[in-house]
Amino acid sequence: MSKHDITPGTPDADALAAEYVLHLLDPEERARVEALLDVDGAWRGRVADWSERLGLMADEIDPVTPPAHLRARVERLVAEDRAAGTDKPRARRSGWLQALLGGGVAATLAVLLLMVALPRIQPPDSGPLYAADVATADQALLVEAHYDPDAAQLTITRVAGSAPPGRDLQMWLLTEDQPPHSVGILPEDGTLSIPVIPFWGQRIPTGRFAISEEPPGGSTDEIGPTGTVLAVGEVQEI
Amino acid sequence: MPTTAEDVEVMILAVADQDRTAFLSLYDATSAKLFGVCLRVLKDRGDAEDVLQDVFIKIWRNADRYKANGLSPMTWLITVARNAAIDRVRTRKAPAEDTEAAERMPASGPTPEGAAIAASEARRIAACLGELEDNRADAVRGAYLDGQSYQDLADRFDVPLNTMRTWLRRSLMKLKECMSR
Repeated sequence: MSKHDITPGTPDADALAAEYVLHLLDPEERARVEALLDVDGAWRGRVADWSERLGLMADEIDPVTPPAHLRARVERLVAEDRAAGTDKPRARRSGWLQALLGGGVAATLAVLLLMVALPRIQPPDSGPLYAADVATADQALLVEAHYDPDAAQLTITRVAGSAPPGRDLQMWLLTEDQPPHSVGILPEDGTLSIPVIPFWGQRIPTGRFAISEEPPGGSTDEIGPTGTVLAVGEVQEI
Repeated sequence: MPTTAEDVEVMILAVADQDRTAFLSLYDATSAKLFGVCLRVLKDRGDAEDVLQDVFIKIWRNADRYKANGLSPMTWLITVARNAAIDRVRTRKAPAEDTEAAERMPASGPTPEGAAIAASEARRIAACLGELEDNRADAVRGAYLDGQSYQDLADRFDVPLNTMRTWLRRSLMKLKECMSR
């Protein structure tokens, strides 16, 4: 096929960014791009460029005055929004994404990623526990992360899926104020337990975990994934 | 629209500070354009009214994140409206209706609109679309303006889905190349 082959692993980043802007990607591809947008400034630049470029076509759309009652309704809804105290949404990790998409797609993504329920038993005398299901939309890859602040211990269990041949799966912690932090290379099976220093421990509750496929031994880039981000999961208190 | 991009940006920034007067000014300045965007995608007035209402609530709530995405103000607003309208289409549409909707699409070429477009940038994309083969340009326009999916486009041009994707990707790259000349 052409250089615009769509086989996973050989994405033409620029074409993919254009398709993302056009809203042509299926939910799984879209989730992959959105994961990249959160961690990769070059991707945000690509998407912004295509948004401006293709947005020129909107020039030919004629304005149509909406009915007057709509203005009154929107005005009322906004006043109620303030009254309800929801006027200042809390800062979110996916701020950029939310800003661009207004939340709909991001919410869908969160639902897709959190489809598996988390039946867990909390010991009676412990503090809060945190967990994330890091999964592709089809659950072909599913990794559970579990964080116990009292024990300062992160436990990672691979439930389903494996790395592409000749590649490793690398797990990342995505935070609001730091570059992606490598948690480690996932073992082929079994559970990985990692001690967590307070600097990262205090960021886990508001963070997300991501998994990328990387060369053996992990990303060659000091500050983040070099391979494709396969899955992202939000941390939830359980 | 007499309002400039700078005016719109000032309004968005004021909306980010929860300024309701600025919000209504922004509504007055942009709602007709955004309603046009919704109508173009949805082709149904009732749906477009519903979506436009949601769009302005999203703008109200998300204006404080406008700065983070690096888009020009109208592009941001149009993106919010267009994505909301497309999300609505994709959830409401049964597969059987797709073909029908595609058939109702007027056959549109890049030339007639060209004359009406004032801005030189917009003329440039029209000219570059004009350099593409006719139905390739129509596919790009269908995807952007009408929010058509790959399946819609494959049905409309009666080609396999993967062929459609290859076509469109090549066309987009040609378009980019032409516009950077």
